[in-house]
Amino acid sequence: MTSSVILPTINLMKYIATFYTHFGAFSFNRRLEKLGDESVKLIAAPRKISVSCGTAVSFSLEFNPETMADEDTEAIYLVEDDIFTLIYHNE
Amino acid sequence: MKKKNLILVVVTGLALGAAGVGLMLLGNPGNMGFCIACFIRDTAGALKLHTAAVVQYARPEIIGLILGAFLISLVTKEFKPRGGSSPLTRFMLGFFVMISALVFLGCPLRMVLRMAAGDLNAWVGLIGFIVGVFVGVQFLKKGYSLGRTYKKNVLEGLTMPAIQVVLLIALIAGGVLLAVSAEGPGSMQAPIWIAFLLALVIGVIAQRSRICQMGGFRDLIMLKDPHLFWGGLAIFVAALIFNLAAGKFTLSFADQPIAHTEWLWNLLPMVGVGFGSVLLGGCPMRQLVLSGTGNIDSTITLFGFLVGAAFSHNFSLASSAAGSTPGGRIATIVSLLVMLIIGFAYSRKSANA
Repeated sequence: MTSSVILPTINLMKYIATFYTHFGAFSFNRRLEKLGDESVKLIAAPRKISVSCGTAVSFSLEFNPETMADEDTEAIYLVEDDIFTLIYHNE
Repeated sequence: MKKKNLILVVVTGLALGAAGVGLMLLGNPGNMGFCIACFIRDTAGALKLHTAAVVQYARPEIIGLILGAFLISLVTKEFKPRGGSSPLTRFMLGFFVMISALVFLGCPLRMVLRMAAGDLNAWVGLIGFIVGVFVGVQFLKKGYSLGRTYKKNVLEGLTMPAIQVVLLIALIAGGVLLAVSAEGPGSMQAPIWIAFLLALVIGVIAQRSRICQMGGFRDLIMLKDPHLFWGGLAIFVAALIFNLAAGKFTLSFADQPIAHTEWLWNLLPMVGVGFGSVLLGGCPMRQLVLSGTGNIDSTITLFGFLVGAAFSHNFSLASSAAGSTPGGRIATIVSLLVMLIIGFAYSRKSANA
């Protein structure tokens, strides 16, 4: 992988998305790959922020609900030094 | 934070393993100190949903586990009534997971307790369980989904905890309402309050840690993330140490308590339990915990377990120490077929195509 050499964007934010379904996680992951986020990956949902489906996605492209979220997306958190800030929630 | 998660999962696993052996020493059946499938089956018997006289007892462990998860979720504000993700399909999956578990003679929790007591049949079951989870993960990757949940009325979320309170009162009141076995596994009981309080504490930490035996293998296979897996391993290690210390470890296939030696009918039913648990999003224990936190889909799954357990004994599908039954073998195959049909029917191609 070349991601350690070429940074994908100047945006060094880290986000974590949680989902109502695994399908939501897989779809989100794929959408972010298409949008060019090289850091996107499926992870086990951090215990702190989710009791829904056990799979989450970490990514670093700036979050845009229009192009990224769908109805299976539960929430998006901004992660800074282990502090999770909720920036998007879909009831 | 990751480290804290890991510690919590491992502590939960150790507590489960220790309680599993401890409750057996205090009176619960052999290698069945704590078993979700068996104990829901016993509860189905206590409610006279089946009339197998040897397995009737409203197990306080089930009540405690649900109420522990419920109480802690109120404290941590994680009690969230949600549901609506293909409830009938979840009921059917619960039904067939239970039937499969009772052909093997145990849920994933008892499987590990049996493994830790030297029951080699359970190791055969483990192979099946892993195969089942692996198959389930392939469906997840193909876009399997039962659909998302939505917010529900708080009363729906309170229903299962309320039922458990009623059951607890009926249990304490003595044998007026509920059936209780006079002999057999159902008559082997750890003291009510010890079992209940221990399960209550485990319900609390299981909710906090999100421990799930299916999740352990699923995350390991799908995400290469081992943290839930360590919880399952911790159950094994604690139970092994306690069994060795108590002289309850015997390495063999034959003559293990409440177990049979037909390898195929230990293997295949656990494929179904693993596969079905992935399709449900959690092993039987996790469903109990989620149900306590207001998850209606898990509550529906529990009713599937309960009815599946009743069918198992009403139609002689459950195995015994003598082995599996013809009906049980057919039901195992039918369970796998139904799970495959559900897996395909709910897979959408667009996820990873």
